[in-house]
Amino acid sequence: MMSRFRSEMDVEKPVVRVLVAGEVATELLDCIDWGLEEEGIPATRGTAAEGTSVIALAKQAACESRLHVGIGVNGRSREAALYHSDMHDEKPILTAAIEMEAREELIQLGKNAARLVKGNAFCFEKRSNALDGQSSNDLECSPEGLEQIVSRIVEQILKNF
Amino acid sequence: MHYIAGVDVGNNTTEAAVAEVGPGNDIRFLSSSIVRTVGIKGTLRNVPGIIDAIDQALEPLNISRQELSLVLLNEATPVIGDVAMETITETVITESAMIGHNPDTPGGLGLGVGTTVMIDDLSADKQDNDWVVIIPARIQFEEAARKLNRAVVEGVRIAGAIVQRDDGVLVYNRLDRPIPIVDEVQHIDRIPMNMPAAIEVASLGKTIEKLSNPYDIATIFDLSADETRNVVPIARALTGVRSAVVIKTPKGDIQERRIPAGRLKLIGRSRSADVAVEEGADAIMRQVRNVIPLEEIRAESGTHVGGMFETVRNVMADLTDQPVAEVRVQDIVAVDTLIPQLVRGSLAGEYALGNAVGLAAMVETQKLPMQRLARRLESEIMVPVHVAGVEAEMAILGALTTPGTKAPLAILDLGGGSTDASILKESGDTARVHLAGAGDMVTLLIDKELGLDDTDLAEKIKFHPLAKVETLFHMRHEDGAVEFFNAHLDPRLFGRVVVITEEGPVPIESREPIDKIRDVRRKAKNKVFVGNAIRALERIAPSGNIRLIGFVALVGGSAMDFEIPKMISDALIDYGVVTGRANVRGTEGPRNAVATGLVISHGNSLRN
Repeated sequence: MMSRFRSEMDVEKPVVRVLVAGEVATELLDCIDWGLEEEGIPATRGTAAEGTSVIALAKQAACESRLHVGIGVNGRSREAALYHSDMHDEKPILTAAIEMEAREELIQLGKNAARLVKGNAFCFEKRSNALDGQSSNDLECSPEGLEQIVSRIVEQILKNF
Repeated sequence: MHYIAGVDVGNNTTEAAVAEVGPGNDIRFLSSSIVRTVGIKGTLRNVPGIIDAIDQALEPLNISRQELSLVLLNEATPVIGDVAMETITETVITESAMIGHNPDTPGGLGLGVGTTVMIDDLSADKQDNDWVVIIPARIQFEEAARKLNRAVVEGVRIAGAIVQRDDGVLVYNRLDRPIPIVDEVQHIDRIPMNMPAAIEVASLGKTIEKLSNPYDIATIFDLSADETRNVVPIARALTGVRSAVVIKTPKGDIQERRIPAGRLKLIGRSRSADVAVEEGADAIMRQVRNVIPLEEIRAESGTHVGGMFETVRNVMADLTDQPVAEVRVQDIVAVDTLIPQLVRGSLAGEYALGNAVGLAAMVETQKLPMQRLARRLESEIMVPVHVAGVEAEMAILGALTTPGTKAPLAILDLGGGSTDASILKESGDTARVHLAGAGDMVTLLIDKELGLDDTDLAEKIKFHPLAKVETLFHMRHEDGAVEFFNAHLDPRLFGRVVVITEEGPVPIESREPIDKIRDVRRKAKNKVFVGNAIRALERIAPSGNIRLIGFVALVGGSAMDFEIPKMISDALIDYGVVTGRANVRGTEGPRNAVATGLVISHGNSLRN
């Protein structure tokens, strides 16, 4: 049986690094690991100073990972972010909320971290935020954005009615 | 000295050529332009597009519209086409007989044979059998693994598991004794309990061996020779997958059903024939060749083909103000294809390949109402407008300005709805033919064969090369070239096959690898464009012999395609014909042939 929880010692092995700052329920962190495990990519978990931002955590994690892929988890901002060490901008590749209701999203973030390593296409079946591109662009294609546009149109029509 | 303009209204683009007519009525071309056609060709809606084309050609010359002494409009080819697909076989599962299924990450390895049982019903007294355990979504992987491990300790023999959620690997990693596990089985509730079942998972990079072989299935389930014959469709559907489940139910049955797709009646000048669509493309095309020259084709109503025939005839009737009864379908082309179809009664949304026939039909009428269009244009631009010359003949005159050509010259215009060919023989005689099947049919084939259900995307795949986004910073084009990017690519593109369009890469939501998509695209073009090019040239060549055509020039939009010209010249090289993209006036490439021809023809008539 494969050991699920690896210690700080195996940072030297090719793993995806997960760095956590602040209070986060173990169950939620496990979700990320499970996503990675289902896709067959090992991960290690570590902690960082509480004040570190989620993007800084993700960056540091990516740099520590020999697979160049890291996930930052910030307990205070309730956010998790996926990052690749080759990137140099301030935007993560994908994010997910650290909430009990968003467990599926966290499993998916784990899966996508593994897929980033494997070079397989991401899965977007359930809701997840692709923060790339302009926000206006996101408004156009996300279901929420579409809903917003439609409700605005309906409002306009009703006003003129 | 005065200025004239030739304008060609095509299905997709409107092109113009402006020339100066000198004192000896000699022609000097000054400029050309190309714009998108507005509306269906031959209708009054074309006018703004025509004016735009003229203005764009005049702009660099500093000549105003009023300085033109004449605008020449082509007698547009009154040909339109449409396409349809008839599925002729489908796979139907009554009760649950199998799951052939390719989840990304199945668990374990090998073959497991046992009887299906719900995980809740696993108990110590089930010692008498090997079991295939069903794990529905409500059971979490940790709990599932715990239950399986406990059952094994109690002496229950577990051969494999079928999991509804995507956590087969998670379950597997927590088991004390390894078993094969298939996951992501959507309709797990359709699996019958207490039935013999077999699960197979192949190692990474391999495909299953046992469940894709009818004799192995027969061995596992102890099947008779007749029963083995019935599992052939199962074995076929499971070929090439990494994991699969087969369940034997008493009444369970899987069938490959042939769907009656209607009949076609081919009426030729001297003979006629009747052919069933489900006999396939070869049979249909054999009959088409037998009855040539075709006068009319009728399709059985209530079928897809019948519906498609009605549409083309109605559009043409509308366009030409003719009664529908007088509009006849004059050519048809059929292509065999395999399309992925959702298996009816399946457990995990499986697809099986079904046979289908793609059909394109073409309607040609007397004349499009070009005179009406000319009058309207005249009143708008206040310049005399003449409708002059048959499109095909004008195109040849234009194509002859290509350096290095002489009669006998044939041109091929591979459009969207029809394939048009014409020839200028040494004697000065011309011949032309319009055939069904062109770009739209290629789009249909790509759409159906890849199961996209998105015509726009299929169209993009047709026009542009592919690439695979390998990392966030680079993609590998289909020819192997690697392109790097400074900023990271959209995560939605990552790991996907993309089409490289003018607006940037567009992802293809398909699990097919890049080679498969490329293959589908090239095969579709080969079947339709190359097949039709040969068919068209045989019809116009002197005594039907393509070898007697000296030169073939490709004109029109598809001549600009990145691979079609090469495919056609590869096919024609055996006939010893010089084939290539036209270069009208030595400057315009395959564009502007008709507009140029209109002007030349006018110049010729002035001199005679």
